[in-house]
Amino acid sequence: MLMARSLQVVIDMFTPNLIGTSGDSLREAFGKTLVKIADDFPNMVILDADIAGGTGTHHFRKSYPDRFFQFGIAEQNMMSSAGGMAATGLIPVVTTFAVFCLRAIEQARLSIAYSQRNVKIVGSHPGLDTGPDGASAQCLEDIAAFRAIPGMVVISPADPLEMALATAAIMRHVGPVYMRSGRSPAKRIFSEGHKFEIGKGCIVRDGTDLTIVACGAQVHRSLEAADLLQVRGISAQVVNMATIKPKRLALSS
Amino acid sequence: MIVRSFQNLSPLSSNARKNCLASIFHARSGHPGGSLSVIDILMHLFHCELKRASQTRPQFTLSKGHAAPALYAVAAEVGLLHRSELMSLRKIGGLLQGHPHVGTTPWVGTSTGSLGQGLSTAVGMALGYKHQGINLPVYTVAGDGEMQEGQVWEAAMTAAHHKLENLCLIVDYNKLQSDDLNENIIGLEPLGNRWRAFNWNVLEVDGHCQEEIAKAIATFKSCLTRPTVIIAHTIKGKGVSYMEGAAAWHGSVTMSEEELATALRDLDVPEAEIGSYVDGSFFAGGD
Repeated sequence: MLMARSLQVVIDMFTPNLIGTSGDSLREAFGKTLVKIADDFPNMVILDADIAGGTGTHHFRKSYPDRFFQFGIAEQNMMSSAGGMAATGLIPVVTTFAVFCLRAIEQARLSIAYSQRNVKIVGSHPGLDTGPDGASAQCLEDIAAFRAIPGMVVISPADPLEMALATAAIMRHVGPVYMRSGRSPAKRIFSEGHKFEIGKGCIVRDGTDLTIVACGAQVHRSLEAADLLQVRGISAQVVNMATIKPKRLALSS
Repeated sequence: MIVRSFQNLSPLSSNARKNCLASIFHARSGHPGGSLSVIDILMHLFHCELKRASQTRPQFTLSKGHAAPALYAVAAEVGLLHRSELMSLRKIGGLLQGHPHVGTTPWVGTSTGSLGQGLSTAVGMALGYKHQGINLPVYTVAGDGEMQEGQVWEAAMTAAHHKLENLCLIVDYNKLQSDDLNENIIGLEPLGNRWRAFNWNVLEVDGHCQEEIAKAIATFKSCLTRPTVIIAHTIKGKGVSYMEGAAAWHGSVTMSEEELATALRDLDVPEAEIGSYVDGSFFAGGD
């Protein structure tokens, strides 16, 4: 443990802390948060399908190689195996691209959700946020599909700071979770005092004429849209609904 | 290729066969063929290897989940279930689903019924115990038709790569699947060589011979470098004359009273007792 801690100091010296700053991506925030909370959750292990650099988990691999498990390009086996690892008392975090989480959704349904296993599934590269990779890597269906699985919590944080808070929150939550991260640099929306609670949305801009409800990268775009509407004399409220499921109706401002 | 045989069986397995068939009869659906082929394997595991199996330290998954009636009947024989629960099979509000569910029978390591997933879950369990320094073997039982699932070979690669010597897969190789012989659906041969090529320790046994199963399990425990697969050659419908070697009894099927009675006679149930299986009174009350 001392070794790991001093190694961490060295890593921190040479790695700029980008969490919560403009230009950081949600996947980077996710990967760096895993390192920060690793000692708080000693049973947490990270599962990868050969894209650690893409999902941000390479930070964790570097700091905690013995808690990082390589499953290769075989997402269905990785998903079911996560359920098995959870059965032994570990808290597995399954990581791959959102579209490959979708590939293994039946395994998530049976081996994780129906088997009542405490597994976290985190998909990067969601929606159209795949860079120039093209349509086959995009994933428009993951939120709707994972939401339909009984017992599955579904979360899509809006900025790097919220991503960091949500990463710790899903580890404290007991039960299966699907969470989206993101590939592209994400704009900062929240300041340090921001609170994240599973199930709760928040008002990020007040308005009186209409309300835009968004999640993930679309929250910042909604704020930009609200600015454009303001120019036309329309006052738009913007709500960040980072938890897709379960939802509580009360919003915090 | 042997797809038929008819011989006396050990008393515990014989009881499990009778109760398994009666539970399917009362459920009016279920999979008798692959239940009867796997029952001696399950009896060995639960009688000899999994006595200390617990909810907090699961060591077993039934990857061929459709053989649940065999699992439940075996569980009743070794005291994990009350015999009367067998009458709740596949019934609304009953304890026993048509496929194993960890929520109601927590001595299975995962819910199964979608082929391939129970093996991967067992891989995760073996990896999890190994990571935590917990010295426990993990067993999983798969069907032969199940080998057609791509996920099985993902799991095979992963288990060998991580050198999961604490993992034992037993393949119930009864040569028949839902519709026909494996070789007429999608051929599996050379099955042993396929597993050898995936770097597993491969053993082949008569899946109805307790001595051979025991010997193979002992060999598994002495292998410290790689996962073990025991290819258990079995007879689909084992013990019931009209079911042996017949794909039609894979299921899910409804058994008539006469079919249950004939099967029970094959299993040496005295004529006077057959009625108590048919009307369910055999399963009422204490055990």
